[in-house]
Amino acid sequence: MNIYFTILKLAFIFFKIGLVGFGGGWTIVGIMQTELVPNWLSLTDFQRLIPVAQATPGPIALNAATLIGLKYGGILGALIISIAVLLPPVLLILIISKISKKIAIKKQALDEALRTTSIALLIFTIWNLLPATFSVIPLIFIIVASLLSLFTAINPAWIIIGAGLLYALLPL
Amino acid sequence: MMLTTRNKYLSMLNFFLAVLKTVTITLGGGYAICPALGAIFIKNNWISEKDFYNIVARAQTIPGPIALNTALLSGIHFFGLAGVLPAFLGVVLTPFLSIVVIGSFLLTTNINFIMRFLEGARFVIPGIVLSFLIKNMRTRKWKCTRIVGTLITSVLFILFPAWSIPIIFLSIAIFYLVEFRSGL
Repeated sequence: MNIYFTILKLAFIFFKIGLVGFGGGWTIVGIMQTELVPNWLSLTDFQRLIPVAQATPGPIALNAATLIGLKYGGILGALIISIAVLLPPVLLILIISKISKKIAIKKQALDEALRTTSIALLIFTIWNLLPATFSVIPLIFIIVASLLSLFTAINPAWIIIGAGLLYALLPL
Repeated sequence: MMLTTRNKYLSMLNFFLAVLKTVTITLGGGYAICPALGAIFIKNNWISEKDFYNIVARAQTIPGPIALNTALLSGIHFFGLAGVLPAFLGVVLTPFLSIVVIGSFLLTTNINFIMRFLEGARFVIPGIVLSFLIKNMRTRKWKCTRIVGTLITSVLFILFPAWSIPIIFLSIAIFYLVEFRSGL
């Protein structure tokens, strides 16, 4: 397939992802997975990409877009696909800041509606991320990570990096 | 000494540098970046705390990374539409460059240490998302309609993943009407 066509196809996919990406990065991980696996990434590669996207500076969706763009279209692909995922919010903010005085959206009702959908999206993300079979070590990692981020104020990025180092250094 | 402790005056360049610096040194995505952005803006007397958190609240109702939306709306608040440019560049530059360098190395290398590092990092992701979900559910004001709505939408996502994007828009529209009619 022609590289420009590939970049355009990916740009369209990430434009769609950008369009629904509200409520914080984790809510759209499930959507990204259904859009990208298995046509563009294997499940394992996708699950490796997510911690890298989370633990490098910047929003998850943008980092994932840059990485996949790089893989399929080099620097040019990375640039175009990064812009594609950010285009919906930029356009919407420009539009809204022009017309917000004319339309009467009840902000509180919209907030509540978005939160209901966001929580459903988080459930969907977890459903997608759960491994097909559980072995002991991943299970321990999952439990410790959720307890740490529930009951301490440790930044998730450090939990991810710590888990990576632990697994790489320990002779498990 | 005076110079280093004095507040920076508000200009497009200083705004861009403040955003760039915050995004660069804050790991962990939007929910970590926004308070850090606010801290700098407020410390420099560019905006009041109340106005800043109004912007954050508005940023959450627009699709897109919340850090980007917050920076864009702040840029517009300070400079009008032209403020979009320094905000956009400030948010995007570091992630882009760091991903190009670190990310491509991490994902293409076959050094055993890094493969195991990624494997370990991968294990904890469901746990982190789970705790994020629990925190969200705990702070939610639950009502019967919201519980039923969340359940139905989750099941729809799981049963029809290919339709998830239309389901998102449809569910937001329906829940908006429900909340609207219930008096919000």
